[in-house]
Amino acid sequence: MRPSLNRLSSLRSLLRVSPIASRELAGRMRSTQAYTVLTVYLSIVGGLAVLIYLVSSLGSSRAVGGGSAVGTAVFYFLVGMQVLLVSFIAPAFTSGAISLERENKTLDVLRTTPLTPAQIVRAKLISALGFTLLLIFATLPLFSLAFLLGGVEPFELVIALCVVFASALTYMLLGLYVSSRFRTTAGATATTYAILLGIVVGVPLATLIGSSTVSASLPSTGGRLWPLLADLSDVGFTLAISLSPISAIVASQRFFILTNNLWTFTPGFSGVGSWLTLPSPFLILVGLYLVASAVLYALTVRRLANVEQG
Amino acid sequence: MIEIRDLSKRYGRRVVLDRISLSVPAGSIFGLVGPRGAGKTTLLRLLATLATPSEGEVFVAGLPVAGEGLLQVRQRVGYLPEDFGVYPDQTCAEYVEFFAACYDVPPAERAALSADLLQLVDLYHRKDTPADRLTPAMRHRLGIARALAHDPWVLLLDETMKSLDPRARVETRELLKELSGMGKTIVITSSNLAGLQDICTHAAIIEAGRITQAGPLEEVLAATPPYRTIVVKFLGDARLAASLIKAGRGVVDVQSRAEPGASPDAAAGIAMLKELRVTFDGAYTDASALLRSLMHSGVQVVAFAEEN
Repeated sequence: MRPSLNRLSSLRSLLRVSPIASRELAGRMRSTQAYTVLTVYLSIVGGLAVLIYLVSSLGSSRAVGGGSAVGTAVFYFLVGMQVLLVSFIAPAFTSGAISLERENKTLDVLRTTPLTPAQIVRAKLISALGFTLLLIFATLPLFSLAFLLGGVEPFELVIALCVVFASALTYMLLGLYVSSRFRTTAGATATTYAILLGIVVGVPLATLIGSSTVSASLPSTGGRLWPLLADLSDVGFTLAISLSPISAIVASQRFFILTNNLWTFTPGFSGVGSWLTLPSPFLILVGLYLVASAVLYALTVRRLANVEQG
Repeated sequence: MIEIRDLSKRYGRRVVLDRISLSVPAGSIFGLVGPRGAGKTTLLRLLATLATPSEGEVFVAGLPVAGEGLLQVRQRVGYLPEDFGVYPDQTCAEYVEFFAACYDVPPAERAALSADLLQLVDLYHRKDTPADRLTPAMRHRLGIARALAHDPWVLLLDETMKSLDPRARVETRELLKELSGMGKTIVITSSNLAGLQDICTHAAIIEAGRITQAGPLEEVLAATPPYRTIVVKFLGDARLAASLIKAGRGVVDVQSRAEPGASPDAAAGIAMLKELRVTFDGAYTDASALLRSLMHSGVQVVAFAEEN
C-alpha cells in the first residue's frame, strides 16, 4: 500500500505546476515583450509565406502541377522558420533562466525553499517551453496554405514536427545547463548561441564539404578495403547530417522521395558502399536529441544541487 | 532549538569555520557578532541549508541540516540574506504569495497570509507596489515577511540592521521583539554587539571562524569589551581614509556608507561627503590617535563622533 501511495505522491509532485513556472509564465505574458515577440514573429513568417506564395505562383502558374510546387515551397519555408525559431529564439528564454536569478540575488532565497533542484529546473523548462510552443502553434494555421495547394504529404509534417519539438527541448535544456554554469547572463547567452550556431549551421556545412572531399578521393572500384571505408564514412556522414535539424529534415525528405521509405534508407554519400541500411536522419536526430536532453537535464539538476559543497 | 557540534567549513584549503560548537535556545534572540570575514554569513548559510558542513553536525529542531532532514529543516527555517533581490514583475503581495506557494501553503490561504504578513511588517499599504520600487528599508521588511511566509520556527537574519536608517532600525527592533514574543527563535548577525544588545537575549562572538564567547547576553557583555560605532564623515580619498582607519588600534570593522543626497553635489562637481562607520573597541586615546592620523594624511574630517 505504502509504495503505491509514494508513487502516487511523486507523480502528483511531478504533474503539479510549480509556483516558479506559474510566476514566470504569468510574468512573461504580462510583459509587452511577449506580445511584441509573438506579433513580430507572426508578421514576419506570415508576410514571407505570402510573398513566397506570390513569387512561386508567378513562376509556376502555367506549368502542370504548378500549385503543388508552390505548396512545397511554402511548406519548407515555414518548416525552416520553425527550425530557426527553436534554434535561435527559444534558447534565449532559458540561457538566462538561472544566471539571471544569480545576478538578481534571488537564487539563494529560492534554494532555501523546499523546492528541489529538479523541480526548479523543470519549472524553468516548462515556462520557457510553454511560450515556445505558443509560438510554434501560432504558425500552424499557415501550414494549411501549403496543404491547400498540395505537394505536401502528411508524413512530411510529422517529420518536421518531430524534429522541431526534439530540437526545442534539447536547445532549451542546453540553454538551461549553460545558464547554470555561468555567473552572467551575457556569458551564458553568448556561449549557448555559439554552440547552437556550430550545431545548426556548422555541422551541415562541414558534412557537405567532407562528403564531397571523400567521394572525390575514393575510387569507385578497387580493393576490398574501399567499400568498408565507404560504408564507415557513410555512417559518419549520416550521423553528422542527423545532428542539425535543417540537414536532417532535408535529407529525410530526399531519401523518402528516392526510396519511398519513411523510416530507413541506404546512404551512398561516397558512391561506393551500398549495403548498409540506416534509420532515417530525422529518427536519428530525435533519438540523439532525446538522449542529449536527458543528459543535459541531469547535469543541470546536479549543477544546481552542488552549488556549495564543502 | 539549534545545536552545532564541532562544525568546520572549508572552501578548498581556506578554513572559514573551525570546530564551532554552539547552542541556541528556543525562543531566544541570538546575536552572532564578529568582524567582516569572521564566518557569520557562512554559519547562517549552513543553518539555511545553502551549504553543507565539511565536518561536524548541525541540528535545527532536532533535525540534521544535511541529508534526509534537509527538506524538513527548510520548512522550519526562514532565511533573510544581507543582500537579496526581488522579482521586478511582482507586487509586494505577489512576492509573499509566491514564496507561500513555494512552501506549499494552500492556494486559498495565500492571499490572507500575505495580507497578515504585510500588516505585521507595516507594508500593507504598499501591497500593490512593485517589489523592486521599495526603499532598502522597506525591502528588508518585505524580506522578513517573505521569510515568515511558511511560519518558520527559526528566523535567520544576516546583517539586517546594517543598511537601515536609524528610524528603520528602531522599527525593525520592535518587529523582532514582536516576533520573539510569538515564539520564534531569531539568529541575527552584526559586526557590532552594541547595535543588538537591546534586543538580544543571547549572543556569541565569532572571530576568524572560531567562537570566542557565547551564552546569555549579560555573560557575553561582561566578558567582552563593548564595541562602539564611530561615524566618520569626510571629504577626500575614501580608500586612503578606510586603509588608515583599518590600521588603527581598536578598530574591529570599517564599513562605508554613501551620504544621502550626496549624488546631486557630485554631479555638479562639488566634492562628495563620504561616511565610514567604524566598529571600535579601543580606548579614547586610540580614537584620538585615529583622528590625528586621518588629519595628518590630508583627509578633511568633517565629523568624528561616537554613535549613540
